[in-house]
Amino acid sequence: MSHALLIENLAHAYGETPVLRGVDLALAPGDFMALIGPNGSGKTTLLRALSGILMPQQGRILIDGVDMRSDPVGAKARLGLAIDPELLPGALTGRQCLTLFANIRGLAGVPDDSLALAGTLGFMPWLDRLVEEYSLGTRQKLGILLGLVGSPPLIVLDEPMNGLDPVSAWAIKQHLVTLTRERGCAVLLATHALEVAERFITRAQLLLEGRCARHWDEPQLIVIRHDPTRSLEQAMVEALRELAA
Amino acid sequence: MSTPVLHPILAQTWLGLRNQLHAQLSRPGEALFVGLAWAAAVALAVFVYTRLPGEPIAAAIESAARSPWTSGIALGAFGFYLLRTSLLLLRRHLQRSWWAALPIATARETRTLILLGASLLNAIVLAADLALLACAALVTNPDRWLTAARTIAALGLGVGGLLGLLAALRRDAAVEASARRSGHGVPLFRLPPLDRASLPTLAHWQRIETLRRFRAGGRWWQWLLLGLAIPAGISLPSLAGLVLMGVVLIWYGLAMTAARETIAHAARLSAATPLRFGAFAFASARYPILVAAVATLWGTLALLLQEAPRLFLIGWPLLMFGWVLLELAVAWHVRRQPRHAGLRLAVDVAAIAGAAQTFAPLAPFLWAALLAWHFHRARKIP
Repeated sequence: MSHALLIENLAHAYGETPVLRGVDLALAPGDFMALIGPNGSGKTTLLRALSGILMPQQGRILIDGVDMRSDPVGAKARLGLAIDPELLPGALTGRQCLTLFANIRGLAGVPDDSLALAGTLGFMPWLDRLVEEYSLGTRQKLGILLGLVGSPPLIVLDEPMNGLDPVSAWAIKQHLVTLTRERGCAVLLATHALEVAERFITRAQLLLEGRCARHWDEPQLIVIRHDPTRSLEQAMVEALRELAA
Repeated sequence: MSTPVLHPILAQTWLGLRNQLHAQLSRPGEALFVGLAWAAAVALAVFVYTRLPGEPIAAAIESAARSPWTSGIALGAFGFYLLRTSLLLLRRHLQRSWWAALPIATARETRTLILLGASLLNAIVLAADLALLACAALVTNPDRWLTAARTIAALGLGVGGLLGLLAALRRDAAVEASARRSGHGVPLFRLPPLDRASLPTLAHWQRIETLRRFRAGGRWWQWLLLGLAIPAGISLPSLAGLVLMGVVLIWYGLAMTAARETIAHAARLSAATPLRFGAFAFASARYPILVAAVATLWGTLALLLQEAPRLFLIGWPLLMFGWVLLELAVAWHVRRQPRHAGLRLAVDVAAIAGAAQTFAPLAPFLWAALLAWHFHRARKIP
């Protein structure tokens, strides 16, 4: 079976400072993984590398079996990255942005799925307004909608719940769960808000100083969820203390 | 640098420059390129200066100096506009960026604006004085006009700039300028050739950015320069041609800059998407090439109205299309790091101009070679 994401021995440094030191990671179709770790642990660099924005100095990245280095266009066709709200073009409307991304993915127009999710998120009144008129939360919604256009096999999101109201955050999480369970998409979610992710994820990966330091699979997460005295946040803090000791 | 009497943006700017210098020095290859580019630009400027026709320039300055009120008012308007616009943009930045949320006294902002305004004003007056001295060095007998011209320039720019500074300090002026600058980018008509092809949003985006810049105004100094270039006793068709050429050049320049910046922005936006370079290049070239075609038509009409020689009529389309293709090739090449796009383009243009000056038949070959090299490099970017 092909992995939705397979990362082998990934390493990268900014100048003399190593940021990723031999990361190995695999996501099967239907996996919903939270990538957690303290600030500066290498989460953002890892996401940039696996999205093809940054070319790592060492290692291999396969998206749905396609090598990012030898066939970046093919790999990116199987990947959806939620767009940083800062990058959205103020001069375009939300619909124009969605159309651009749909066209890039070879679709004639904005897919019905995206419009349905836009409706659930309360984004429809903003669809034909200029992005420069959006609030942070509205931009965040558009960034997520852009990443989900075409429901690719691997979906990558970096702190997607920032600035979202509770109803929209809930809708996004439900939508992601549906994508993993019904369409077999794999989701990689980098977040600090562990309480937000805890109930939905099937796996969690702790990144520390550019290495995969600890991993929790679904049975372990179920045990944590069913113990009222424990939480993933607590488990992560304990793991960090153990590793520091 | 940071003192309690001034705004901390000065300290921030100083630190930013220092960090930039350190970063530049830590990348010797890039530092060498930038150094060579500046050296080439200076060499080109010196080259152009030594070949300037001194006598006609001196005659024009002398003629302007004979009408001190007209020249003084024109220079005053230029100084007023430059100071007021620059300082209002800074005020707008201070009131909208993260500085706005910090507890900084208004008096510190005002003192900083006065300091920067006075520095800018001195720099403009000094630059004008140096330019006049440079012109004087080109001719044998500049005494007839030099003192008068220097006085008019200093007084005109000084008084106009001072009034511009005072206008910028008025609180309501900042609000008014902000509203005027926001502009809007809704096109007056559709362009079906752009809509029908693939990725029409990219071309549409470039068009909107061009329209916004054009409608935001702020090109007064270019109009002023155009106005100063109008000779006395010009015929009505020639005047119409000159004005039309001014509009075409301003619009073409804005469109090229907007297209280049949109290419860089779109490349960052779509970095993680399966967008092939060929499709991206095709989609992002359509609007600028259409602009070049339209500029060729209107520019040719402007040249005909001015009864320009046939050589100009042949050269104009070549210039428009040659420029747009080079602009696009550079923009694609540096789309991931667009910081030096303008400088790269300037170096390429300087090299082609230098080649044309030295041995004219070499220029098209150099242009084609640069185009091929930028395109080849652009294709290699994943």
